[in-house]
Amino acid sequence: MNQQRSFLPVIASLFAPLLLSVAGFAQQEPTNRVFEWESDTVELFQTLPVQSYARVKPMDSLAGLNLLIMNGKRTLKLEDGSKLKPSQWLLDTMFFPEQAKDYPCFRVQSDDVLIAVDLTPKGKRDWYSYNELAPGLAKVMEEARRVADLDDNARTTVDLQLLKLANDTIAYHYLVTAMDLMRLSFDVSGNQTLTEMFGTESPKLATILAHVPELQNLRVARGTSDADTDAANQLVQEIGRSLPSSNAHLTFMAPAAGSEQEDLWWTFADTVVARFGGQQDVTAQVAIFAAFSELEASKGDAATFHAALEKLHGLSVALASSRGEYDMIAEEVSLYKLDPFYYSLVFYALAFLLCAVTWMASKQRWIWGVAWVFVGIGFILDTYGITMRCLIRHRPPVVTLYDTIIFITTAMVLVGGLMEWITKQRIALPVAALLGCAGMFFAGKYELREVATAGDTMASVVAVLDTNYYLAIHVTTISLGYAGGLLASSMAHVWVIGKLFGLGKGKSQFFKSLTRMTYGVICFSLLFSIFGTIMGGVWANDSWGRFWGWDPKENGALLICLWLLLMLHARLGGYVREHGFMMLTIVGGVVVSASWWGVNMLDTGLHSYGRIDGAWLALMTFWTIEGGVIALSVLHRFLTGWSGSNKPQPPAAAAS
Amino acid sequence: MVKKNKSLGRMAFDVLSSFWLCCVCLLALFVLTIYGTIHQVDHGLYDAKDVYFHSYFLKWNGIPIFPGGLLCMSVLCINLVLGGFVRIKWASRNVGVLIVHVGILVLLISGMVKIQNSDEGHLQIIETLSKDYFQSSLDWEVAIWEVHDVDDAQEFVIQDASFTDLEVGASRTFTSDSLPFELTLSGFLKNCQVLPVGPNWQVSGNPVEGYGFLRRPDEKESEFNIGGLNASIKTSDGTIQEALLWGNQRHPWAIAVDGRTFAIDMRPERYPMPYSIRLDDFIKEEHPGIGMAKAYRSKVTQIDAQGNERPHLIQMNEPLRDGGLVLFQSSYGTTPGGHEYSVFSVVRNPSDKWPEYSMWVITFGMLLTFGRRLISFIRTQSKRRHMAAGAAQ
Repeated sequence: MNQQRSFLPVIASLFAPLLLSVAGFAQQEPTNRVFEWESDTVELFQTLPVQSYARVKPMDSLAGLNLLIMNGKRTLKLEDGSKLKPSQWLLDTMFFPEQAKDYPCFRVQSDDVLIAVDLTPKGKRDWYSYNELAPGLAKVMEEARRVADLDDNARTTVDLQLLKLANDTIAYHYLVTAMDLMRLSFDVSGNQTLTEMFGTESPKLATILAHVPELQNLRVARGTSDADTDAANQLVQEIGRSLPSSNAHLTFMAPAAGSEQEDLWWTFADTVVARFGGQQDVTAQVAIFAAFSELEASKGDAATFHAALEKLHGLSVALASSRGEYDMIAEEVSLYKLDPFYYSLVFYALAFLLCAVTWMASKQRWIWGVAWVFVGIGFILDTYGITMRCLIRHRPPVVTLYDTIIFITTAMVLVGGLMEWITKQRIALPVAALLGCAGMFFAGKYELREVATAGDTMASVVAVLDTNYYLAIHVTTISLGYAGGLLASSMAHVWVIGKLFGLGKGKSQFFKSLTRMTYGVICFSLLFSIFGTIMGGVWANDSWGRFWGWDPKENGALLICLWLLLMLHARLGGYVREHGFMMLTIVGGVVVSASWWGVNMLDTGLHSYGRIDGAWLALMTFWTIEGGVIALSVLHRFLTGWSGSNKPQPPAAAAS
Repeated sequence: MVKKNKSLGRMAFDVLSSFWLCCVCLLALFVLTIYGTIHQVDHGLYDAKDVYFHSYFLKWNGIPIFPGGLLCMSVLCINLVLGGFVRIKWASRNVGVLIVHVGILVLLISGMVKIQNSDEGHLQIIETLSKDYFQSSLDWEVAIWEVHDVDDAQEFVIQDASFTDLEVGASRTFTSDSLPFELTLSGFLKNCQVLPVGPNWQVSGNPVEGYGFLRRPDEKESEFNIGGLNASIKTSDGTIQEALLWGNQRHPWAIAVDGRTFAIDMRPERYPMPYSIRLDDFIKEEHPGIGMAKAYRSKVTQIDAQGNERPHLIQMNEPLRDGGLVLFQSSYGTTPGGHEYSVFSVVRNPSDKWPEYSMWVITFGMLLTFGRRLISFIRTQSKRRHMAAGAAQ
């Protein structure tokens, strides 16, 4: 679809099938698939280009993203227990809509949503098919209109889910009706000339498009009977009425040269309009249109469908390639097929488990080695994923909030791994594995939210962000600063847990190493935070005309720098020692979280790109837990006494 | 043990150069930044700047209760110089730290220079037209000029600072030998609206010819405030004429004195530019199908005093820097008559590039410091492992 996910402009399109039944008439086609999708057919379909959310992407991504939004997962589990991959689901949805409408692809998070639209809930957070929701859809749209008029703060959770359900069903509508134009036939049996021209009494739209010049001649040419002219005019009017009014339908073909918007791909309707307009050379577009029509006509048989798809694939790829818009399609399909961020999570989880085993069986050195390998594989998978996303978008690694999660997680794993390699204390590696696991889990959860709001995790950027130089330097370094702050905070947590549960008893190096590592990571964080923050100011100076504007996002970055500087100077001055430094480091993690997520929620300032509804609760929970950890540690310290080597010393006489 | 008495100067030096003072300043700035950020949500950026960052003290009922941003940064500057340059040991191991301190000092100084010596405003130009001045988004001025056929009329300008302190009831009189009248300004209102006097609202200041100012609460974003004040002129024969000057009025106040016509206008403060800018074309590109702006571009021509023309393209992240001014693509729009216009932010800032230079200095210093420590840490770890291995054998 080629629009933002907003239901208001497209509600009318829900009634498009009604219009279609008035204008043309749909011939009887097989409604249910009678064969299994062959893997080579699915592979061909996956790599068809389509433009959606301002980006040319493979059909597989379109399918996966839509399924992710509606279903919460990229695969669909059917009621008989079988699973459909994204492209298989989209194939069914486009070519066998009546069958697909029974697939339970809508996940409804709250029963209250269904009750609000007079539907009966099946179970908690259950999945529903389009046909199951259909009786309540009119009410869903009515409620969504009400919610859309409400102020953001006045919307309840149920309101937001109602709005989402409305958007999801509209998005689904465009998929399920994608091939409707191809199914139409137009009755020309009453006119001999038209019947002879098309070779049939009920030609499809693709057949008519092939004869547009003759049809137009018939409409204006002298020497023909009035009956022929009237029939031709009537046919053209019928075609006009059959075209959907919304422009939010799928855009399958690149526009013809000289189009008003050269970057905007065409829907089937655009092709029809351009063909009848006669101003542009639309040979390639009409050929693709005809190939789609042929594909629809051949869906009763697997072999003919595959052959028609091959032909369509060749034409689509040739047109997209001629504009340089097909370069990374295969790579994008591979990226989603490999799902590197999910598998890296698995490897990090396994690595952490192995690390835990080594704590109990420390002599089994091979287990430790395997843990290293698993962390390495996880890191390679993440690096591959990030690199591919860069290449596909032609952008640096960090552009969206989703990017920040995967990049920061990967950076934490890398730095943690390096710390382990240097210290060999068996502390940093499990921390890195755990952070990798948690980060990728969070990324998976956040991906759903980003796709639901932006339509894509590789979405287009606003004008001010359209600079790879600053994105590459400022955003990346700031993210590395965040990564350092969070990694240090995690190590401080290990220190606190160690003290609370006596984990390091008898190992004098345990706490010393942890402190040294934490200090090192804090220095790493400070380096990148200061560079990134000032670089952000330099960018702001080029974009908005001022180096520093006290904008919330800028202040967030400044808070990190101030806190890290405060920590290092307090340590240098002797005002904090081991325990104090670790407490400050945990607060540093809180400051990083506030800068990374908190300031976005203030909904003010020039950096308000990343507002996320409902994230306050998660942040508050995190901050409360961190407060609890600090309080517990201080209490433990108080109970066990402030004596020994941790006794605060007088400030040093001079800076060092 | 005999305690050695320190001189007052030495004690002051110790305090001003101490880590303790540095930590206090950093902590105070940290707290100010948190509160200043939250303050913006309800009161806007400019108010937050005034209260937290561009102030010496935060006040409660006029009583200072916390150091403001300017005080913290000033003290931090002193601490940096005394502690970071004078007190610090000038040894090779501290070279990186010294370099970092130089960079931070430059950064702080560039901020001070910006606050004290910069002009900021905007320049709105309709396509095909040109302008040789930009105007403030926050400050006002009262301009007086004689209206005649010749285009080079001399303007008398009363600047913002000369009348914004005039509360209702207070007035100030301005005279000039070239003007056949004296002008009295009174009752400046930061944000107001002109309305016909009626029973349902209270006029602020003196009503004039049935109209008066309705005082409005300050806007969250200060650039949306529309100021107003009362004005009166007194000619040599004692005749007095009164008017309301309002920032949003369409036409200046025109007065006839001794057969000459003068115009008096309250308008955003203007800053002359050393060249004119003509907007040749404004281009907006959108991402296909989603209505999101992809790029804003303005094709302009810079015309110097000699009439020489130079074409430029100003777009997001690529401003025009020349003559001590920097012009940034800021906004755009269409006039009611259908003409496209482009809006540029304009800044005159002597320290424009200093932060960038400081960034490279700081980064170099930090790389030197932390790199050194990292190498030392790796060596220590390696040595420790070798010793442990030796002990095990």
